[in-house]
Amino acid sequence: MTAQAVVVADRISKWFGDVVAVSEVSFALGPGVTALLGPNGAGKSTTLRMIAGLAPTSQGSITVLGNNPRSDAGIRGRIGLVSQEEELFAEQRALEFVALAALLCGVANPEAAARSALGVVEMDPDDQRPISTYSKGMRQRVKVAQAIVHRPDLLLLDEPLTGLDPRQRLAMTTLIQQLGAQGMCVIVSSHVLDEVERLGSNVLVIAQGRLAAQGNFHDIRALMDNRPHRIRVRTDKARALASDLLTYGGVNGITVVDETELLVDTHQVTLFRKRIAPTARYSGAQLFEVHPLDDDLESVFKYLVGR
Amino acid sequence: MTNVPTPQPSPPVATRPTVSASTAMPAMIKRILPAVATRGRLLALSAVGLAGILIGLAVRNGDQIDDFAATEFISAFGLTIFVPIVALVIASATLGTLREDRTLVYFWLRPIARWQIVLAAFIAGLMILVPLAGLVMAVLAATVGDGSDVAGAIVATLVGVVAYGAMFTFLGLITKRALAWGLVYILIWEGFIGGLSRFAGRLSIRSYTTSALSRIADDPSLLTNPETTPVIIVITAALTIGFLAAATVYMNAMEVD
Repeated sequence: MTAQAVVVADRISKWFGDVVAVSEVSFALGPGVTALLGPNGAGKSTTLRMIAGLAPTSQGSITVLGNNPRSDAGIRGRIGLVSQEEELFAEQRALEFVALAALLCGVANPEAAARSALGVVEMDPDDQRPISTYSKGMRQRVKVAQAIVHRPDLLLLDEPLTGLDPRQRLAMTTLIQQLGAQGMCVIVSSHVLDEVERLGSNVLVIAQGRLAAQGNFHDIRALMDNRPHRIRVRTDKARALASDLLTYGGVNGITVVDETELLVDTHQVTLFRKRIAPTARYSGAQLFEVHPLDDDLESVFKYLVGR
Repeated sequence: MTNVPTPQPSPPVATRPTVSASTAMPAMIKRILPAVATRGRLLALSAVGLAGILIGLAVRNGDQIDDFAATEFISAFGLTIFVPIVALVIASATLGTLREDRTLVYFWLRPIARWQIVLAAFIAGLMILVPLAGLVMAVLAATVGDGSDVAGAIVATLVGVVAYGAMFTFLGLITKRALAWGLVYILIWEGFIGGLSRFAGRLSIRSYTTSALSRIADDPSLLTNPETTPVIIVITAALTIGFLAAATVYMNAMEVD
C-alpha cells in the first residue's frame, strides 16, 4: 500500500526580483526521512521555508496534510522547523524557551513536554545558564528540542548537523532516523553527501533551483559515479601509459598534456580505479598522481542539472 | 530514476485547534517585554524625561509663569517631543526587534492567530509606555502647573501612547528603518506639515493629544481640533484599531526570515 503524502509540492517556483531561487519543483513526501541535497545556494532553504509557510510560493502550491501551511493556523501546530538562520531568545534558559514553544503549540503540560524534548536531544533541562552562553552545537540541539516538543507530523531541519561535534552528529543522526521510523515526515537539508548517506535512503537533489534527481540514495550515488569523470594522471611515461589505458583502462578519451601528464575522461570511474595501477605496471610507467578533477559535489550537481 | 513509491496526496486532515488568546498572549507579552525594556533604552528615555522635568523646574523658579504658559510648556516638551519619541522607541521595538533578530518565527509558526501576536506586542509596549510616559508627564505637569494640568497631561499622554503605540508597532513591523521614518513623521509631518492646514493637522496624533490637554486644562490657545474629549478618545480608538488591523494584515502576507 502506498503511503499518504504529508507534503505535496506542485510545480512550486520562487523568485526574488529577477533571481529565480526555485523553479517548478514538484514532489510528494510521506512519513520517513527525506534528505534535501544540494550545494549552497541551490534553493534548499527556500524550499523548506515555503513548505513551512514562512514564504509564499511565487507560483505553484504546497499542501501539508492537505492544508495550506501559510493560511491555515491549525496546520502550523503539526509542523516543526529548525531553520539555519533564526536566532534564539538568548536571555531565556533552554527549558523556558522550549516550554514556550510547547505552550504556544497548545501542549497540555508545556514544562513536562519541554523536559522530555530536551532530554531527547541530550540537554539538561535544569541548566540555569541563559541560551546566550551556549555553544553553537548546544543551541542547535535546543532548536531541535523546540521543533519536536509538540510531536509534529512534519519536521523540517535545515542543515541540522552544522556546528555539532562528531559524537553529537551521530546522536542527531540517530534521532532523525528514529523520528522517521516512528512515522514522522522528516525533511533534512544538507549540502554534504556523506551526511545524507547516513540520514536515509530517500533523497531529493536540488541544484540551481531545480529538482535534479529524486529517489533512492544508492541509485543517485550510482548515477554520480557513472557520470563522465575527468582525472589527471602524472607519470614518467605519459604516451605509453595513454596508449595502454585506451586498450585496457576503461576510458573514453585521453589528452596527453605533456610527457608527464595525462587528462583521462571516463564514464566508468570504478573500473578505471581498478585498472590504472596494473596498466601502469604493464606499461612500465611510474604513477606519481591520480587526481579526480571534478569529484566535488558542485560538479556532480552541475552534471545532474545538465542531463 | 526513482524506485521510491510516490506517496498519494492526503485529503485535508483535521488540524490541531489554534491556541486561545488567553493562553498565548500572556506568554508572548512576557517574552516581548524584556526584549524591549532593555536597560539602555529605559535609562536613555528616563534621562530625556528627567531633563524635561529639570527644565520645568528651572522655568518655574526663574519666572512667574501663568496657567497658560504652564500648559504650553507641557504641550511643547511633553506632547511634542517626549511622548512621541518614547512611543517611537518602545513601540517600534516590539515587533521590530523580533523581526530583526529573526525570532518572530517562534510566534509566527505556531497555531495562533496573527492578531494575537500583534496585540501582544502592542500591549507589551503599553506596559512600558504607560508607566514611563505617564509618570514623567504627571511629574512634569505637577512641577509647572496645577491639578487640571496634571489631569490634562495624564489623559493626553494616555491618548498619545495608545495612538502612537499602535502606529509605531505597525511601523516597526513593516520597515527596518522604523526609527528614521517615525522621526520623519514626528518632526516633518506633525512639526511642520500638520500646521499648514486644518486637514493635515487632523492627520497628526499630536493635534488630538494637545486638544485633550487643552480641554481638560482649560487652555483654549492650544485647541487645534474642535472635537470634545470623548470624541478624541473615540478617534484614538479608531486609529489604534486601524493600525493594529493593518499590522495583522501585513503579518499575514509577509515573508518571515
